[in-house]
Amino acid sequence: MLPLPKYFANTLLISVMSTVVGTAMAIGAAFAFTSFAFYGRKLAISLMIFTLFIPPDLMLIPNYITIARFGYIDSYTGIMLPLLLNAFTIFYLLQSFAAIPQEYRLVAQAEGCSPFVYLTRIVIPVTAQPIGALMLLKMIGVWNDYLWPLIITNSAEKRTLAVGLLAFGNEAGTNYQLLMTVSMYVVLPITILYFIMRKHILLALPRTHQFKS
Amino acid sequence: MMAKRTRITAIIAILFIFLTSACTSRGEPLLAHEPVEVEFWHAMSGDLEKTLQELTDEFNAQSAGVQVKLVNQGDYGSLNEKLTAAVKAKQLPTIAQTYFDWTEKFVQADLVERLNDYMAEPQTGWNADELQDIYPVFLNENNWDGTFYSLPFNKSDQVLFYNKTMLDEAGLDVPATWEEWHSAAVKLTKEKPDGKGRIIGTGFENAVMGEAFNYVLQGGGQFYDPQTGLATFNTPEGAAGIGFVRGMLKDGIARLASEDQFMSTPFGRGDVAMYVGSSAGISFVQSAVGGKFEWGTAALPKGKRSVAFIQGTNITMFNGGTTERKQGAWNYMKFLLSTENNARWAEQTGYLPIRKSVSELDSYKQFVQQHPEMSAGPAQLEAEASLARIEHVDIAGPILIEQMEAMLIGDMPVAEGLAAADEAINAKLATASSSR
Repeated sequence: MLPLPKYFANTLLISVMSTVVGTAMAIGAAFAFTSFAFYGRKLAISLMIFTLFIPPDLMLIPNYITIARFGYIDSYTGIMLPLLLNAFTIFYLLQSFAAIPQEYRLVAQAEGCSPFVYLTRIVIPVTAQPIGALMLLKMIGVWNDYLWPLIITNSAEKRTLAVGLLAFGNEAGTNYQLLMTVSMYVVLPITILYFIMRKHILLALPRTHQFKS
Repeated sequence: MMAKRTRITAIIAILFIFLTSACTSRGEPLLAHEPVEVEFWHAMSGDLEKTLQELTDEFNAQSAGVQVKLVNQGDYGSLNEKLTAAVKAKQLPTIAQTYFDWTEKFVQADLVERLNDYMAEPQTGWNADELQDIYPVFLNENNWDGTFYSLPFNKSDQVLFYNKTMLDEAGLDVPATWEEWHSAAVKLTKEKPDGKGRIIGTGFENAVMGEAFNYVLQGGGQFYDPQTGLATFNTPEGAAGIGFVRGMLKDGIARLASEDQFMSTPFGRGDVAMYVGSSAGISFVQSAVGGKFEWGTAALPKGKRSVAFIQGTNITMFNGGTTERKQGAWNYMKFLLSTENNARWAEQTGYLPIRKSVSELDSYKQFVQQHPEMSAGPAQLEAEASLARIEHVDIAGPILIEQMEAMLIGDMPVAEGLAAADEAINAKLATASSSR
């Protein structure tokens, strides 16, 4: 029997943790890029955007080697680390943050706000919709991810639902009826979440007219 | 304000600590009295995995010093990818399922344990009878100039699946030659009685595109000349072999699995009367047919030469582990390949028996009597030739797939396609040998 409840719990843990921690890190990076002038900023942004051109599959073996050196093979940490951040997330938030008028920042500075307070009190609330949409997209991505969780784990205790779907076939055929049944359980939670969060996705495109100084 | 900032910093710190420390379980040193753990990476899922787990549990129960841990790596593609990554990260398991061409790569990288010494060990090895009991075709596949770098495990071969109900209605016997097969396919190709679609006489798996080797051999040809080191697909015999398959497809008396993925699905629907497929697919045919009609399996109809086209993987032992671990892995391999356990494996999974003595067991005889569809696979092993390990398959394979698609789906004439394949393969072989 497949340990489906365990797979479900693992998938949930990995999706939620990667989404929350990954988004928090992406917010920090995007905020730094938009709010601080530092040496090599433009180069760093360009390099980050360049990584968008690297196919994720190409990173599979290098990531595996890195995680193996850290000693995190077959661990939740090992699964989550490479899923935390990607250039798209930071780039997307960077666009949203850049659309906030500079006046907000100047007023905040005049009021004596530290950059951290400005980030948590103004930037995040103002860009809540894009952040929400991003979190949802990330959650869907991690939830459905198959190859990385398969490669990095060895034990059934650490595996995810998408990996569990492999149990229904071999080189000579596939048990489609079982595969489809379990696929439904994989797809259902994330579909429900999508419908709940749908309006955030639709409203999430950065729009400058939202902000009035 | 200060308190709030401290709180947020604390939360972030806790998250990091959780992420970077809490979840690892590997890497703890084994205590001296703990049994040796042998990892076996495999790609057996569902019922196959269940049977493998049962056998492994039995082994673990009876051998206190060694505990084998099964690690399912998904399908063969993922297993290969994982092994490749593990080579680079120096994280190889003790044993793994491998195809012969993977083993060859690992041997070249000096990562594989020679099994000869384990086999020759008087106490724990195999005697001559035990070794000779393994079908020669499987032994040869795992023997590189006298050195065994792997042993056969889950093996299957190609057989003919046929819809007995349809053959009986048409007054046909199961075809034994290509001529009979062709004429049966012509007769069986017709409109369905309910008018909803057509029944096609014969089916081929989508994988037929990678089987130029197989049909060239069956046509009486040879695809490689070891004397000259050149590919020789394009001979009248080779062209006859590929031409036979192409002719059936072009005449509309054969089809491919196409979007059905595997032929068991259209066969179960009654859309094809016969098909060539792996004996490992028997359980899928059983569930696809579901008692709607009578069906059976037979040895493949013979062209110029009957060929046992061997599929499935072997077990390779890597040389990185400790002596105890490797000895433990050998004991486990020996356990899996004992006559009794191999019979159980064959009965419960549909894979072929590796040992000839399996067919002499009363329990297996009884099993085959109750499941006559299981007899064609072993019978096919008696064919005049076998195809298991293919020279330079890494070079020839992709070129042949391209040419087979052009010949079987496109309009490329067979002689032209095979000539193009020979030319491309020989050019690549020349480049490969000059760069060595």
